[in-house]
Amino acid sequence: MDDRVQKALDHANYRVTLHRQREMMKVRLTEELLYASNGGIFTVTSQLCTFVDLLIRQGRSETTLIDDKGNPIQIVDLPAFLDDIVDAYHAATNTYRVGWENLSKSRSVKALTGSV
Amino acid sequence: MSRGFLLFAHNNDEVDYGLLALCNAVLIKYHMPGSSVCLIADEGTVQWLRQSRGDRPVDDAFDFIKIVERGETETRRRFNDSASTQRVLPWHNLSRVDAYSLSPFEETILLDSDYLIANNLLSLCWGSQNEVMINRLAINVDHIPLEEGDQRLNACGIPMYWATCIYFKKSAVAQTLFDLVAHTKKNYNYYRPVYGFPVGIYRNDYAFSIAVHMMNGYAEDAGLIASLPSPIVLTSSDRDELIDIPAAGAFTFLVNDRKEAWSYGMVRVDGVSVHAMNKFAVVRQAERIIAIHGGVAA
Repeated sequence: MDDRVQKALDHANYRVTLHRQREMMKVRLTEELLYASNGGIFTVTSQLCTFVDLLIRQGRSETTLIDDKGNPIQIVDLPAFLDDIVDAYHAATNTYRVGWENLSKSRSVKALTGSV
Repeated sequence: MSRGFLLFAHNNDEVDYGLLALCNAVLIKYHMPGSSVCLIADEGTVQWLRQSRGDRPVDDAFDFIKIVERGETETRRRFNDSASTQRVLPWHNLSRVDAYSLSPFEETILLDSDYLIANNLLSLCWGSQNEVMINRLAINVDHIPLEEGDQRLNACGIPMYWATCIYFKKSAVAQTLFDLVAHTKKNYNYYRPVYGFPVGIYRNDYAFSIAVHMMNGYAEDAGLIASLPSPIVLTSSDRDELIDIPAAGAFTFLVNDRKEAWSYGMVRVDGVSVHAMNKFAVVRQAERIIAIHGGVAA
């Protein structure tokens, strides 16, 4: 096979693998952004963090939030809840960033997958 | 309130479901320390597990073992071992419908023994406001959309719900769901033309999908049954090969190209649980799964 064709095929294989690994990281991020409180399950977003912070700034210490499944969940300690979701957001997005950077630096299928 | 995971295992001539369940119990206890795991199995499967692995690994992995009859044995299905090997073997999957009554827990997460746990996400279920949670969305590890038959019972049919992982608490809602599943199973040949699912062996996914549809008031997605914390089941086909366990909570697959069966790509799954349908491949990696995740060696 022509060298150029072989290189093109190898590169295509690399790009497909890179895409798959990035998609896999997005799935992991989505899962790591989940947080449970008082029987409710929340996806932690920057909007949720900001909204809870707003409630606290207004002097509220408890509230009712609607979780991912549509359940009304009473949050009895808003500052502690905010601490937890901000921690979860930081941890998940940091893992995502580090993983993304590692993928960007990986120049072969073997490096992308840490394969045997 | 008692909480725990429920695994079923009925060995056939070639697939060691007991070992699959043992691997999964080790994974569960690694990622969610302190979790209780109950194995539901027939006597032969448990005996072989103890004979092949020894008593201590089995007793460490499972907090409860319940012996049940294996049930009818005439069901046979095709098992793929990657794209190149197929075997037609007996399949004993009929006792799953009894999960509600067999579970020793108030809150239960029922898992396929080949749903490899890679994180503590399912622990978010404990104490949930929802009585039942089951997923209707699934994606392949290579992120190519599932075939139509894995998304709906037929092209114009109701959505497929995956019995791979189900959360339920002892409640009227969960009791109703399992009663409807038992009813569907009993009348499987009647519901086949009604719901238009393919002719073939009994499939739990179909029975649960129909039961959920009934509970939703025969509406497609009335939302009466919630999805699990992560609403998607990550799936590796039985045409794929699990080739390595590079680290705790990580799995490397050779993924078969559905259009070009000779072709494989590689995917590493990190920190996300995956339904690895190639059971032979999981069994081949069993020693490594157990060793890396701190299980007791045979």
